[in-house]
Amino acid sequence: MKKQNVVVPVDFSDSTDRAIETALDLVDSSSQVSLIHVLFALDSISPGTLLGNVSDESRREHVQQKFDELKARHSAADMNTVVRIGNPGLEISDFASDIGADLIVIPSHGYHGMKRLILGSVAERVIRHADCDVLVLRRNDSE
Amino acid sequence: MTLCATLFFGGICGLWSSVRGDEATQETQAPIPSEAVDSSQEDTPDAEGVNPPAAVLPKIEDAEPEPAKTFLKRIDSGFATAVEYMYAVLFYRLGAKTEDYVVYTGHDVYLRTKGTDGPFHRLTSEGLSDTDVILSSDLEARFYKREFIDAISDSSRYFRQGRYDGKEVEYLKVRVPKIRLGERELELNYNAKFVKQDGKYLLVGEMRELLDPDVFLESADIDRLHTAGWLRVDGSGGKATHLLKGEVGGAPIVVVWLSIGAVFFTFYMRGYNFRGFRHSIEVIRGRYDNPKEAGEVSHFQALTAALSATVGLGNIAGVTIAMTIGGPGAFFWMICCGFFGMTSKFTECTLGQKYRKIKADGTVLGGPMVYLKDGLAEIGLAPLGFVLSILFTVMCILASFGGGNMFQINESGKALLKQVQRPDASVLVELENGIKQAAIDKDADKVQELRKQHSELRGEMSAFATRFNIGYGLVMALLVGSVIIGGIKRIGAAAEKVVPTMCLMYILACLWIILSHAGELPELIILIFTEAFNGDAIRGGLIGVLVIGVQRAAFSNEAGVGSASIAHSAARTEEPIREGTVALLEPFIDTIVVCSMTALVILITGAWNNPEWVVTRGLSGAALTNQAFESEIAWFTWVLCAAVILFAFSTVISWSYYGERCCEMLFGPRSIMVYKVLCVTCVFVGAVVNAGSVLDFSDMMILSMAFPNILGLFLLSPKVRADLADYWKRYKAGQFKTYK
Repeated sequence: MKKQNVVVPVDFSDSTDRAIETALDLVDSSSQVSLIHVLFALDSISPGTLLGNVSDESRREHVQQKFDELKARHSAADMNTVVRIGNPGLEISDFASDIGADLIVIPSHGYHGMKRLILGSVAERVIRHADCDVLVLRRNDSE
Repeated sequence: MTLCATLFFGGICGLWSSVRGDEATQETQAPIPSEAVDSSQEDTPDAEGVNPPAAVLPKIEDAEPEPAKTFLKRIDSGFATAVEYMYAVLFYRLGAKTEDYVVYTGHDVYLRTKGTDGPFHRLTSEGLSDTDVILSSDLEARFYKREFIDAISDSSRYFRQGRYDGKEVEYLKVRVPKIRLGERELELNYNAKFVKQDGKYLLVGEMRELLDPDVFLESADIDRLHTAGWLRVDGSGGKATHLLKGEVGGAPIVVVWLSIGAVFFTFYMRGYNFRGFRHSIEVIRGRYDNPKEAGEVSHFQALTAALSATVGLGNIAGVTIAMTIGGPGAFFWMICCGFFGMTSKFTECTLGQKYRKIKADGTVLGGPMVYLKDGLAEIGLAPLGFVLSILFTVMCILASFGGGNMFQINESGKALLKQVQRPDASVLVELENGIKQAAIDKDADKVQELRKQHSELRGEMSAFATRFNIGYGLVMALLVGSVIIGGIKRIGAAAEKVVPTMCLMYILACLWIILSHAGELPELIILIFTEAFNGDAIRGGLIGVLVIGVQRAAFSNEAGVGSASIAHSAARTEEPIREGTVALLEPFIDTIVVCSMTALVILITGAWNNPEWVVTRGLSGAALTNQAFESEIAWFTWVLCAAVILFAFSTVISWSYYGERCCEMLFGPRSIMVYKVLCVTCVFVGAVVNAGSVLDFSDMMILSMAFPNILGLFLLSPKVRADLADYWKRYKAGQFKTYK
């Protein structure tokens, strides 16, 4: 069953490629896939923000470059890309609703112990908040 | 305040505070500012030496109710235990020798039945004396002559409550300042310490603990004093003894650890601190700055950021402590420590760069928490690396709340409050001297009048202090909060940018003072070199001087602690060695330039050896620096005060960044907000709470970071050495592209 509009949250880790491949398999055209990367709010005390020229624009540019690398690697230049700033779980599900996505493909980190307790996982939040189907890919190299 | 608080600078507490004579004792009992009372003992110059009594007098059981413990005091005393343990570990003195000593506690006791208004009778071996009495109308005068020990001055009753012979009594402990031992008469402070040397016990002096060969006790004297009950007895039951044992000399383990690291890296990197110096200047001048390389800031900006966390109270207060207790020789060793520390910094900052992680948005995460984990994993020590990394991270977070936050705010607040209250404080001194004079003249009406003014003013001052602390806490919390939570980066950026200027101003002022004494400079330089190798300069001997100099320098430049590597990892470069080379300059600027300036001022103005300031008024640390500056450039105290606040603020910002990075590493990016809120809370708490132990605890955390960090540096240093050889070859061959 082909999907019309698939969202892939991307954190540029090793599991990203598999998620994109899975998404591309599910659509007819790569333009039906949207990659989203969510940034945490800019910290205001690093040397970069205080003295250098780190800003939200510079951060978006960097992420855009990374997106371009991904597109080239998957030979799918038509994929949509978006960078948002905020809470990853909420931003991803909001974005999916905004564009009327019918599926979110997300790798799960599979944290254990302390990190799991404190962080939960982005995947968990997406599942809880999303209006559409969510496909969770279990990471092979989970921590 | 001066005595207790400033001793804490840099995390040292009780190293040499063992004996400060009676000034300290009375100070804690009677809340009189230490500088206020001119404690000249010349009021009783012709007093006869007193023979110690032939037997121990009946003991008075003290029944003075303890002041109620506040909630805060309880928390603080809980931390006190932790501090004790940490102190015992961090400052465990390697190679210390035990020494025998005794403590003089000679005093007479005068007492009367509780509730009566009559005279106090002296307690003798035959019971109460009828002739030797102290009239209650004389109490005030004698209190101000500082004759009483542990007097209660709050309600101006002066006597203490106790039990004697089953009855409730009121009693006075009266000092015996001069004793007769056979032919000899000795003038002694209560709590004077005598150390055994060559069969005799010599008096420990108040300056640099030098032993006084002219004031000694022979073993017969000791027996006699002990029989009289005039020596301190420690222990209980069968273990009770007046022949006490203490430790002297040796070097604290943390200082040894830092020094071993610094010296090892210097030799292992073949003196790179020396041969890389010129290159580091080239680099910070932007010669190799390629804006296209990954990273957040230029080499120069990374250096500024790291320096703003290092330059602070250590440079102003810590150095002064080293000079007062170590003498000019400590200066020499301080410089040495700065010089060798350069290679520790180089090594850790190179590794910070080498193993940093560049995130998708181009920002950087690097530092010991990363290189300990990834670097050690690379050489097959993943489990060790994991443990060290976690240890470092936790310590760094705690240090960022304390030594990098509360401690800074607390000390800078105190400095500002003192500066603001100066006029009031001097009125207070005048009033106290007036009361003293009137009391000695037995002018009761005048005493009462002045006393009223005095307590009113004191009340006003302490009420003001409370309001001030809350205000200062709120303002600082607001400023820090607006930067780290509100994201108003202009405030933070301004502070970071003003720090170098402030440093420069400080250096210029120091140079001004030094040059105005230029004539004394050659003599001082000779003194520095001779004292550095003179085993008799302080009681601790050659090693003692060395340890003091090295300790203060290491605490100030933090080379080996690892924190700076977090800031340096943000630099824009693809050559880790290059950023390490820049980091070389940090101990150089911090210790060899800024600390030296303070030290030279303290030495050349004679402040280090000024008994009136150091002993009588009990000045030390920042207060002594302030005094030294004031005697040379009166208005400069305000600049100094501003510098302290500014350094504190920028240190808080920089350390919050360090802590935040560690938090991100340990708990992930989502924990940062919680961390930030805690940080701002700490700023406020640091201003209003006076909890010495909490502050000490957190301050020691900074030093503790050196243990996991230097261990990791040792293990990873072969990599750095190989990288350095490769880099240097390419540099010498002129293969680097220049941009300026």
